[in-house]
Amino acid sequence: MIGLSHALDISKWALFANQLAINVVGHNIANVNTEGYSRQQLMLESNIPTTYYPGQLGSGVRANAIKRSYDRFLGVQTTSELQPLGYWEAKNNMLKQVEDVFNESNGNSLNQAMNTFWDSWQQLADDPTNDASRTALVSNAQVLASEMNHLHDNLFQLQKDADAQVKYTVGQINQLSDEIADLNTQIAQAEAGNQDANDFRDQRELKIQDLSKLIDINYFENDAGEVNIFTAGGRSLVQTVFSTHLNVSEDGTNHGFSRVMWEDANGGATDITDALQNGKIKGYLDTRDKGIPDILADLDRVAAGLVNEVNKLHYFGYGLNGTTNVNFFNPLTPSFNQDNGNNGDAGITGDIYDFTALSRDDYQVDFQTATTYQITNAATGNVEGFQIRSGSNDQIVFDDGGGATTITLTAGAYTSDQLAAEIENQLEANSSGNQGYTVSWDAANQHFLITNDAGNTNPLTLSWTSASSTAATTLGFATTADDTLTAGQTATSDNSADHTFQYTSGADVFYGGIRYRITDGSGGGPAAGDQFTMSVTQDTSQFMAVNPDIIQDSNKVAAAQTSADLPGDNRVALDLVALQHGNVMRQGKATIDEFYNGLVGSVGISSQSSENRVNHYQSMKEQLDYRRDTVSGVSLDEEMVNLVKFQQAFSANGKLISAIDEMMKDLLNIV
Amino acid sequence: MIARVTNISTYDRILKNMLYNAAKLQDLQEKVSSGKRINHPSDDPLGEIKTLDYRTILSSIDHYLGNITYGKTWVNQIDSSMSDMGTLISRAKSLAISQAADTADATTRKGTSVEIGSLYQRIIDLANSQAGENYLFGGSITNQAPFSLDGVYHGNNQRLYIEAGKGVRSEINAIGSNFLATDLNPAISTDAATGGYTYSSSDVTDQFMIDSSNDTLQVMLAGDTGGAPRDVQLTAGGYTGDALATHLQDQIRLLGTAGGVDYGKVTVAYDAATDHFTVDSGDPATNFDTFQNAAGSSARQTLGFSADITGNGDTDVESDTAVAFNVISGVNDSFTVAVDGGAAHSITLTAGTYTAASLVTEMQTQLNTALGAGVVAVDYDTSHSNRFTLTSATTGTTSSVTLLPGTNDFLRMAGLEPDLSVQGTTPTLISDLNAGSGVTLGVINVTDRAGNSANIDLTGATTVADILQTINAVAGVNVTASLNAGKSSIIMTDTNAPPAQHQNLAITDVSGTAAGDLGIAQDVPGNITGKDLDPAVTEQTRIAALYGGQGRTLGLIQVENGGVEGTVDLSGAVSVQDILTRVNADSNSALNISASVMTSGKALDITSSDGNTVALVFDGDDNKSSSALGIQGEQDILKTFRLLKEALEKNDGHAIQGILQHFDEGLKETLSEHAVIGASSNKLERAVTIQTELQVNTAQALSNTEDADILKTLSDFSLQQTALQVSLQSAARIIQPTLLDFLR
Repeated sequence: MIGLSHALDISKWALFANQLAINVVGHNIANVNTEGYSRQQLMLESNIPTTYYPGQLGSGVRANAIKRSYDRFLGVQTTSELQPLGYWEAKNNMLKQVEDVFNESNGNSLNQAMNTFWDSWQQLADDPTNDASRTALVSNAQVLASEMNHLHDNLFQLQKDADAQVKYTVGQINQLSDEIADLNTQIAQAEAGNQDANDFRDQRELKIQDLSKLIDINYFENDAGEVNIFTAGGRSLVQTVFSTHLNVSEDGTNHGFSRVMWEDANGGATDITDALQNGKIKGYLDTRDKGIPDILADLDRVAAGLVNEVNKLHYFGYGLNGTTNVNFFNPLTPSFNQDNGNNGDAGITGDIYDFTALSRDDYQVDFQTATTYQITNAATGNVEGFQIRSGSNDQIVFDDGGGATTITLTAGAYTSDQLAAEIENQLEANSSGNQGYTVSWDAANQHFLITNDAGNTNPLTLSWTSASSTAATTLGFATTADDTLTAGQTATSDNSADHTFQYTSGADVFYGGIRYRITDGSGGGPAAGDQFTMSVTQDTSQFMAVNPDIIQDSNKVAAAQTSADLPGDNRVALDLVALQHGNVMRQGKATIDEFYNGLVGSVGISSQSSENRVNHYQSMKEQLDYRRDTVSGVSLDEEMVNLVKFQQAFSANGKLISAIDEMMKDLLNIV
Repeated sequence: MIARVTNISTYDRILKNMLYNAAKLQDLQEKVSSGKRINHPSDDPLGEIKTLDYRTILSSIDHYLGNITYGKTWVNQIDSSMSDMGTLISRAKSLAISQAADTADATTRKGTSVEIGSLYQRIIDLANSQAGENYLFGGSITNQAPFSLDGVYHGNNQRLYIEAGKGVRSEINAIGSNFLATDLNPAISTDAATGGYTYSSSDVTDQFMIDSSNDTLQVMLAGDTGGAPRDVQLTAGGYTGDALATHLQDQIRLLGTAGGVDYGKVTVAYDAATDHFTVDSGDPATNFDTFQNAAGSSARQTLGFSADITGNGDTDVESDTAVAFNVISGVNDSFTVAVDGGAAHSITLTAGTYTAASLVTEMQTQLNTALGAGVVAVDYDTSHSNRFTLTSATTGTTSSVTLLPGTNDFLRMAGLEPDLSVQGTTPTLISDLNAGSGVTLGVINVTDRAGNSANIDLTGATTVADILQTINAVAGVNVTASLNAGKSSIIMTDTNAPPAQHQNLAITDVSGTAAGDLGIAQDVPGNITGKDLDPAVTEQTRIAALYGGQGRTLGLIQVENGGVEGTVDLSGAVSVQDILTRVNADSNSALNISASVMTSGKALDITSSDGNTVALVFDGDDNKSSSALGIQGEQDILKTFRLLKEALEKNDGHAIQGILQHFDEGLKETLSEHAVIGASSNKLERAVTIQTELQVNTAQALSNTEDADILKTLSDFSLQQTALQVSLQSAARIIQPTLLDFLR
C-alpha cells in the first residue's frame, strides 16, 4: 500500500542519494589538487514512478551514475602537443649543456687558447733565438691541444649522457606500458559491469600523457574500454591487457650506443631507432646521433685545419740547430669506414701518404655497380677525381705543327686539378714548336678548359675524333668534332666528365694525399649501392697533441726558412703568424678563427631556437591544461555550495523521516 | 559563457607567472652581476660570433704593439750607432785633411795614424752593437759579431722583419755589407769550363803602318791643266784609319790650287764599319780623276785600292777592299806564343794586307803549323770593341795562352797585350763551397716519390756542375737536380706524374756526408731544397755570378800609386782571373800594383808593391767597378780607414789626399743605409698609432656588443622586481578567499 512507508522509502533513498552525493563531493574536495583528476558528479534521477491515483506518483530520487567531466578532444590534443614538447625539452636540455661546454663568455676557452697560440708565434717571430719565447710557444700549443681534447671529451660525455637518457627513457616507457596495461585490465573489469571506472580512467589518461611525452604514439580505445597504443610504424606498445617492451642493444659501429629494439610476437627484436619520430626519446637520439656528432665533426675540422696547416709550414722550416722535417703537432690519422647498409662484403683500409696534398674534405666512395665506383667530395657534394687506366683512356692525339702526336698520360688516380696539370705538362713537353698551353679544371661548371696560349704561332688541334684519343670521353670532350684552337682560343669540354673508377680488389689507390685500398671480403666483393667513407679529420680534436720531440726540445721549433739564415731568420714564424688569417677552411673561403666562431655561433643559434620551441609548446600545453581545468577541475567554492546543497537536502529528508516517524507514531496512537 | 575557474587552474596560472617573473629577474641579475649582455651563446648567437672576433683582434693588437716595441729597440739602437759612425767618419776625414796638407810631416802623420787606429776600433765596436743578445748589423746571423777586427764581414744580407700590423712587415735590422765591407756573395756557377784565351785590352789601333815602302802616291783632279798626276807624300808612322784619312787629306790639300783646280777642298774619309777609304773632290762639278801609286810605292794597296785609278768619271773614289791590317816583313810580322805552360814558339806571318777575317785565317794557319792543328783557336770578336781571341783547346785552370812580343810590333798592331797570359776558368768547385770548407763526397741514396731508389756515387766530382750532371744521368730514379733561382742551393725535383707520387722524396748519405753537407738529406712529400752553399770567391768566380747572380757591368778603374796614375780597363772581364790578369799585366808595371782575392774570400784587393806607398783605386766611370768589386770605394768604409792608417804610417801624402774622395763616398753610403732605418722607424711609429686607434675602436665595439648597459639593465631589474612583487601580492589575494571562510 502506498502510504507512509512509501514516503519513508522515498526518504530513505533520498538520504542514501544525498549521502552518496556528499561522498562524491567529498571525493572531489579530497582530490582538488590531484593531477589529472576529473571532477565527478553524481547523476541523480528521479525514481520510476508508480502508477497511482490520481496520477503517477514519484518514487523519489535515484542515483544513476557517477560521471566525470571530461573533454575527450582536449585529451587527444594534449597528447599530440606533448610529443613535440618532449622532443624539444630533451633537445633543449642537452643543447644547454653543450652551450656550457663551449663556455666562451668568460673568455677562458678555445677562442682564448687559439689567440694565445697565434700570439706566441708572433712573439717567436720577434726573436727566434729567445729560449723563453720558444718554451712559451710550446706550452701554449700544449694548452691549445688539451683545450681541444677537453672540448671533445666534454661533448662526447654529453653524447654518453644522452645515450644514458635514452636507456632510462626506454625503462620509463616500459614501466608506463605495463601500468597502462594493468589499468586496461582494471578498467575492462570494472566496466564489464556497465559502470564507468572514472578514477582508473583518470589515472590511465595521465599515464598516456606521460607516455606521449616520451615517445610518439597513436592510440584508440576499443569497445571493452581498453586503450591500444602504437608507436613508430604501427608497432604496439599496449594491446588490450598486454604490454610489449622496448629494449636496447649496443651498436658496435657507434661507440656502443644503444639502438632501440622492439620485441615482436615471435620473440625477435626489431630495430626501430630510425622509425621513431617524436618524444623525449627521439630528442635524445637526435642529439646523440646527429646534433652532437655534427658539432664534433666541425670541431674535428677546426683541429685538423690547425694540425695540418701548421705542420705543412713547420715541416719545411729549420729549427735553431738546423733540424728540419719535424712535425709541430702529431700528424692526422685517417679513418676508413664501410656503411652499415652495405650489401656486399668488401672492406676498406688505408693511410695518408702525402699530408701536404690533403684537402681535409671527407670523401664518399659510391659503387654504381659491383665493379665501378665514383668518389664524391662530402663537403662540396661534387663527384670528383679521375682514373686514367693504361690502354683504356690514357691517350690524347693532338697536332700543333709537327703532325699528329700522341701523348700518353701516366696511369693512376688524379684529382681534377692534377689531371689538368698533367695534360698541360704533356702537351708542352711534346709540342713541336715548344709552345705553351694552359689547361685547367673549372670547378664551378665542372669541365676542362684547354687554351692555346696567346702569342703562339701554330694552332693547336685536339683530335677528339681520332680513335686513338681514348681519353676524350673521360675528359668530357665530344668525339664528334676536333677542336682547333688558334692562339688565345680555349676549348671547353661539353659533356660531363666521366669520373668512374674501376674497382680492383686489394689495389692501392692514391688520391688527394690519401692511399686507400678496398678489398673483397670472405663473402665476396662490393655490391651496387655500397658506400664507403674516408675522412682525415675524424676524431682529430680527441687526439690533437704537440709532437713529443718538440716538447722535449723546443729548439726544434722551426722559425727559419733556410738553414743558412739561422738564427735570426724568422720567415717561417712569420708565415705561421699569417696562417691565422689564411683561408684554409671551407675549400679556401674561411679562416680557422672564422670557422670556429661560426661553430660557436651555430651552437648558440640551435640552443636559442630549441628554447624558443620549448617555450612555444610549453605555452600550448599550458593553454590546453587551462581549458581542461575549466572543464574537469574542481572548484572548492562550487563543492562547498554543493555540500551545503546536499547537506540541506539531507537535513530536509531527515526532517521528512522524523515527520513520517511522528505520523507513524500518531497512527499507532490511534490504534 | 564565462569559463569555470577552478582552484587548480588558478594555482597553475599563478605559479606559471610567478616563475616566469622570477626567471626574468634572475636573467637580469646575471647580466648585472657579470656585466655582460651575452652570458651564453644562445643569448645572442650573432653577437657572440662578433664578440669572439673582437677578442681575437684585441689579443693580436696587444702583440703587434709588443712587436713594435721590440722592433723599436732594434731600430733605435741602429740609429744611434749609425749616427755615431757618421761622426767618427767625419772626424777621420778632417784628420785626413789636416794631414794631407804640406804642413804635416812624418811625425804628425804617425801620431795621427794611432788616432785613426782607435777610431777604426770604435767603428768596429759600433758595427758589432747588440740589442739584448742579438747583433744588429749582421743580417740574419744574429748570434755572432758581424765584424772581426780585420774588418771581415761574417754576416749575411738578409733583412729581418717583424709584424707591425695585419700583413704589415717592417724591417728592423741593418746590413753591414751595404756600407762597411763588401761581401761579393757569389752565386754558384755551372758554366762550362773555358780555355785560356788572350784578348786585346783596347780597341785595335794603329792598323796602318806607313813607311818608305808605301808613303807616296799620286792624285789628279779632272781639269787639272798640269796634265800629270801630282805626288802626295805621307809621313811614316802608325795610324788608325781615321788618323790616316785625316793625314792624307791634309797632304792632298797642301797642293793648294794647282793646274787651275782647287785641291784644298778634297776630303778623305775612313768608314770604320767597312774599312774603306773614300777620297772626294769636294766639288760636285769636279771629278776625281786619278788615284795611283807613285813608282815603287805600295800606298794604294795599303789604302785598299785594288788597282790604280785613272780617268775616273766620278767626284770620288772609294777603296775596294776592306783593309785593316798591313803586315810588313820585319816590321810587324812576328810574335811568340806558349800554350798551356808549354814551350814558347815563334810565329811569323806572311807579309801583306789583311782584313781582320783574313788575318785571323793567316794567324790560324801559322799557329797550326807551329803547334799542330787544333791546339789554339784564333778568332776576332767584333761585338767587343774589335778584339782578337786566342783560345787554348784545353779547358779549366790548367789551360792558358801566353803571348810574348817577339822581335817586333805585331802585337801592338793587333792590339794584343804582351805578357798577358790568361788562364781558363772552371765552374764553381766543390772545395770552394761552405765558405771554403767544401763537401765530403761519398755515395748518396735517392728514393723518388714513386718508390724508385738508386745509389749515386758522387766521389770524383770536382765541380757543382759535376754533381748535377751525375745525379741527372742516373737512370731508374725520376729526379732532376738543379740550382735554385738565386743559384745558392741545390734543388731536387721529383719528376713523376701525380698518380705515381706515392711517398716522400728521401735522400740519405750511404758513405761520406755529401747529402748532409749540401743540405739535401731530407724526407719530404715534395721537392727538396738544399742549404745555402755559400761559395768562396776564387779566381774561377764569374763576374756574372757576383752578388747572388746579379753580376756587375765592369768598366774602367783609376789607380794612383806613388804619384803614378793609370787606368785599367776591366770591361768584358768574364772571371775574377781575368781581372787579376789585367791589373797585374806588364803594361801596368809602371803602377807597381798587385791585385788578388782577399783572404776572407769576400772581395778583391789591389795593393802597392812599393813598401813606401799606398795604392788608391777609384771608380773610373759610371760602372763603379772598384766599389763593385770591393777593391776600394763606396761601401768599404772599414777598408778606407785601414788605407788611411797605412798611408799615414808610410807618410804617403799623395795617398792621404786621394783618400778624401773615399771618405766622401763612404759617408754617402752610410747616409743611404741610415735612411732605410729612418724610414723603418717612421713606419713603426705610424704602426703604433694605427694599432692603438684600432685597439680603441675594437674595444669600443666589443663593449657595445658584449657588455650590458648597466643603467638600462638596472632599471629593467627594478621594474622586474616590482612586477614580481605585484604578481606575488595579487597571487596572495586571489587564492585566499574561499567560501569556507564565510560558511559558519
